[in-house]
Amino acid sequence: MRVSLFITCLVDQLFPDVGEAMVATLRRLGLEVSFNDAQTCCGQVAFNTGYRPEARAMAEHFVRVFESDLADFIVVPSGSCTAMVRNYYGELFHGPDDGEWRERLTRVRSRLREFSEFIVNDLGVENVGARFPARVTYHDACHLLRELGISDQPRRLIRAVRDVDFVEMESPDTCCGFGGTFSVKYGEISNAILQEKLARISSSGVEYVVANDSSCLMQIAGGLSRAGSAVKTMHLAELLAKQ
Amino acid sequence: MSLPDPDLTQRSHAALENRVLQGALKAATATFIERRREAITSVSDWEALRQRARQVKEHTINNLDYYLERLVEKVQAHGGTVHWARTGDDVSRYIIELARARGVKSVVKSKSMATEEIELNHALEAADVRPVETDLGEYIIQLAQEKPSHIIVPAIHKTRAQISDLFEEKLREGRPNEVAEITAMARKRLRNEFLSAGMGITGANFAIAESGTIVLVENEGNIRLSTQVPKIQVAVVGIEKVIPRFEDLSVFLRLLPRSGTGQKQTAYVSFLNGPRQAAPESGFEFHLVLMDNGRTRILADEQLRESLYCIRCGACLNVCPVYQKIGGQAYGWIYPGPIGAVISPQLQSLKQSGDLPFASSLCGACRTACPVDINLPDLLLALRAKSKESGSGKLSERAAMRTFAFTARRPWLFTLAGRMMRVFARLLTREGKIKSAPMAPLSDWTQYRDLPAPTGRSFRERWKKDRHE
Amino acid sequence: MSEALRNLDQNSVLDDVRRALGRSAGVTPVPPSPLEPFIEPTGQTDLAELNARFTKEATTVRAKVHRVSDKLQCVDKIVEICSEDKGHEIALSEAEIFAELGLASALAAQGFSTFAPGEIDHGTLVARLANCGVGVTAADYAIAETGTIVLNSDEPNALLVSLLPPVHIAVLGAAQIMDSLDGVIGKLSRERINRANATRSVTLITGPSRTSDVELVLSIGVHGPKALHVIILDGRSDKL
Repeated sequence: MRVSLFITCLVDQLFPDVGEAMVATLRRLGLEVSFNDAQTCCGQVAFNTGYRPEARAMAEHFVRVFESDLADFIVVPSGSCTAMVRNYYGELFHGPDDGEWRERLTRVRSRLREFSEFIVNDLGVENVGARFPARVTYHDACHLLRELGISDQPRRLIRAVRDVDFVEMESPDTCCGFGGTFSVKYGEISNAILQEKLARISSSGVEYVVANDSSCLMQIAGGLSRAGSAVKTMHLAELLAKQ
Repeated sequence: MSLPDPDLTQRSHAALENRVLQGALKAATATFIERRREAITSVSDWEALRQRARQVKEHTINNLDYYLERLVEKVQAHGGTVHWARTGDDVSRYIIELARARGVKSVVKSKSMATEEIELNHALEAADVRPVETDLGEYIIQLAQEKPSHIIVPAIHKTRAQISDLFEEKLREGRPNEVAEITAMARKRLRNEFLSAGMGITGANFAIAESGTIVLVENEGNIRLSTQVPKIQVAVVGIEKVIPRFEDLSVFLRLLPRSGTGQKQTAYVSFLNGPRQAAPESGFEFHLVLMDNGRTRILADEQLRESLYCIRCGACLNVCPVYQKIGGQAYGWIYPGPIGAVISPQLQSLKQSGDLPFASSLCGACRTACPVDINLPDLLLALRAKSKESGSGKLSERAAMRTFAFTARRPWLFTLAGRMMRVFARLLTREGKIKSAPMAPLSDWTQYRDLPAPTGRSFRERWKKDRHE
Repeated sequence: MSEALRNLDQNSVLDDVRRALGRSAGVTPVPPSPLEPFIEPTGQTDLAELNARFTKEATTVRAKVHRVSDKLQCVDKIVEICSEDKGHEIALSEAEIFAELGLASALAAQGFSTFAPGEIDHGTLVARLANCGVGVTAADYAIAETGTIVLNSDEPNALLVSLLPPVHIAVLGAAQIMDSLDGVIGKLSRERINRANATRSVTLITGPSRTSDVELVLSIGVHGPKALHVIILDGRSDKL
C-alpha cells in the first residue's frame, strides 16, 4: 500500500520532526511513503479569516497537486487541515459552474485521512510497536473532535504504547485558545483561554501533552515555555515513533 | 440609539482584569454546563429531539409569511390587537401612544431580550411612563443602570455583597444580607408595582400560529403577575418566534429549560390566548406587537437564515471559551456569546459589530450545545467572509493574505519564502525559542507565549536532500 | 387575503417577509404541507407508577405532595395546611370539587375566613387576593415526567387564586396524572377546539416560585407562591 503525505505548511516549516516521525511510523507499518513537493498550504488561514477568494486559489492548487497523485491514501498530521479539505473545500467550490472542480475534489477528498484515523480505521492497527515510559495526557483538538468526530482513535493508539502511563486531564475537549489568526488578533483572550488549559494540564501531573494538531501544540508549548514549566508537548506521530 | 464602545479589545481587557467577574463567570458557566449535562440524561434521545426542533424551525422560517398570517388572524379572532413594527422606534411609539391613551403611569416588565434590543425602557422613561423590571436579575441591573451579562441570569457578574450594597443604597429599607433577604425585599417592593401598574409588557418564547397563543416560560412568577394583574397586556415578539402548531411546542418545552437552566421544566409555563375577557367594556386588552427590526434582512440571506432558529436558551454562552473569559457586557450590545456574535452584526451592521465574529477560536462547542443544532461556526465563517468582501479589515492583512495565496500556488516560491522565514527567525531566537519580536503579528504572539525556533531544515528540504524515496 | 389582514394598517413588514422569502409582495402564500407528526415513545400508563413518579419529581422541585383516599381526608389535609398561618383569609377557586367537599363551610367551622372570587371587579379581587394567606384551586392534569400540574380551567379567576397568595394548594384527581408533556399538550390541543372560551389561559406549574439570579444560589419564593401543596385525591377518574 502506498500513502502520500499532505504534510501541512505548519509541520513542513516549523515542526519538521513531526513529519519525520510520521514517515518513520508509517514505514514501520510496512507502507510505502511518498511526498509530492509541489504541495504548499490547504488555505485554512485565509478561509478562516474571511478571505475566500485567496483560500479558493490555494484549494485549487491543492486539488491539482493531489489529483495526479497515485497513492491509495493521503495522510495528514493535522485535524484542522483535514477538516478544511473534507468539510470546507465544498463551500469554496459551490458555484453553479464549479461542477468539474467538485468532481475533482471528490476524488482527492475520498482518499484523504487524518493520521490517527488512518492507522486505526484503515489499517486496523492500534499497537504500532512504540515504547515510551512517561506520564502523558491527550488534548482533543477542536476541529479533529467536532469537525471530524475523531477522539477514540488517538486514545487507543496512545494506550497501546508500551510502558506509557496515560492520564485523562480534566475536560480534555476544551479549546486551547489558538483559533488561527484569533491567537494574534485577540491575543489577550487567546492567552486567557490558554491559561485555563495549562492549569488543567498542571493538575493532571503529566510530563507530556500529546495532540494531533501542531497548531494546538504550538499554542500549548508556547504557554508552557513562557511559564517555565517542565511539561513538554508532543505530536502523536512523535510518540508513536518512540522506540 | 446608543452605540457600544468601539473597541472589543478594550472591553475584553477590562473584563479580563476584573477578578470578581472572572470568578463569577467561571462558577456560573461551570454550574450551567453541569446542570445541563445532568438534565439531558432524563431524555431518552436528545439528538432526535434537537433535530426535530431544527426541522420545525426550518419549516416555519421558510414559510414565515404563511404562519405570521395565521397567527395574526387567530389573535384578532380572540379579541387581541396586532401591531406590526418595522423598527424598534415603531414598537416604542406604539406602546407609548397606548400608555398615554389609557392613562398608564407605570408599566411592569418581564425579562425580554426583544425589548432590550430596542431600548424600550429608555423610550418609556423619556415619555414619562415608568418601566419597572420585575425579573430579579433584570431588576438588579435596572437599579444598577447596567447592561445584562448573560441571557438567563443577567446580573451574574455581581456578587451577593454588591447586590446587598445596591439594594441598601437604592431602596433605602435597610441592608439585605442573605440571598433570601434580597429576594424577600425585591418581592415586597415589586408586589406593590404589580398591583399598581396600568400595563404589563412581556416578550414571548414562542407564538403558536394555529391557536394564536403566546407561550412564556419563567421561574419567578413575575411573568404570570405581569400578564394577569394589569388589565392591559402587551407582548413584544420578534417575527421569528412563531411555531406552527400546539403539538410542535412540546419539543421546544423539553429542550429549552434543560438547555437554559438545566431544569426539566421551569416553575411556570403560561399559554396566553388573548385578552382575559374579550368584551371591550371589560377593560382587558391584549396587544401583540410583531417586530422586524432587521430580522427580514437575515431572512433574505439563505446562508444566514438559520440565525433565526435561536430560542434564546443561553447554552452556547456557557460552553464558549471566549464568553467564559470576557462575559456578556464585553460583547457591547444585548446579545452575548456565539449567538450574539452572529446576530449583532446582522441586526445592527457589520460596521457596528463586525468584529464580533472574529473574536472566536471557532472551537465549535456552541454548535454541540445548541438545542436547535444551529451551525454557529459556519455562520461565523460566513460573516467573516462578508466582512472581508465589504472591504473591512487592515490593508496589511489583506496584502499578507494575497501574498500568501500567491506564494502558495508557486512551490518554488513557497520553498524560498520558507527559507527566508527561517533566516529571519534565527535572528530572533534565544536559547532555542523566540521570546520577543519587533512587530505584529509576531509580537502579538510573543506578548503572551514563546514560539519554538524552527529547527534545521524544513521537512521538504530534508525529504529532497536525504532522498526519502 | 383575509378580512382581518386587509384591515391591518401596517403590513409592510409582512411584505418584507414575503420579499425576503423570494415571493412577490401582497400574494397570499400557499399553505405548506404540515410536518409529519413526531412520535415519541409512549411511556407508562400504570396509575400507581405515574403517581409515584409524579410525587418524586414534584418533591424534587420542592412541591409538597399529599395522597388522600377520600373527600374527608382531603378536607382534613387542606385544613391542616391552612393551619400553618391562621391570620389571613383563604381564597377558594370555584372548582366544582370544593362544593362537593363542602370546603368553605368545613374551613369556616375551623375558624378560617374564606372567600371565592365570584363577581368582584378585577381591581378589588386582586387587592383582596394579595392579602390572602392561601389560595386553593383544582388542577386539571399533572405530568409525571416533570412533577408538573396543569391549570386549564374555564373559571375566570382560578389563575389569580393560584398566583397571588403565598401558599397555593392544588387538588388533583389521581387518574389525571399523565406520563409526559406530549400527552398533556395533545389533550389541551383537542380540548381547546371544543371549549367555550378559547381565550382562557393555561398554566403549567412545577414547584413553588424560585430564582438563582444571585450568585446562582437557589432562592424559593420570589413573586409567585413560596409554597405549593399538591393533594392527590384517589378514586376519582374524572376531572375535578
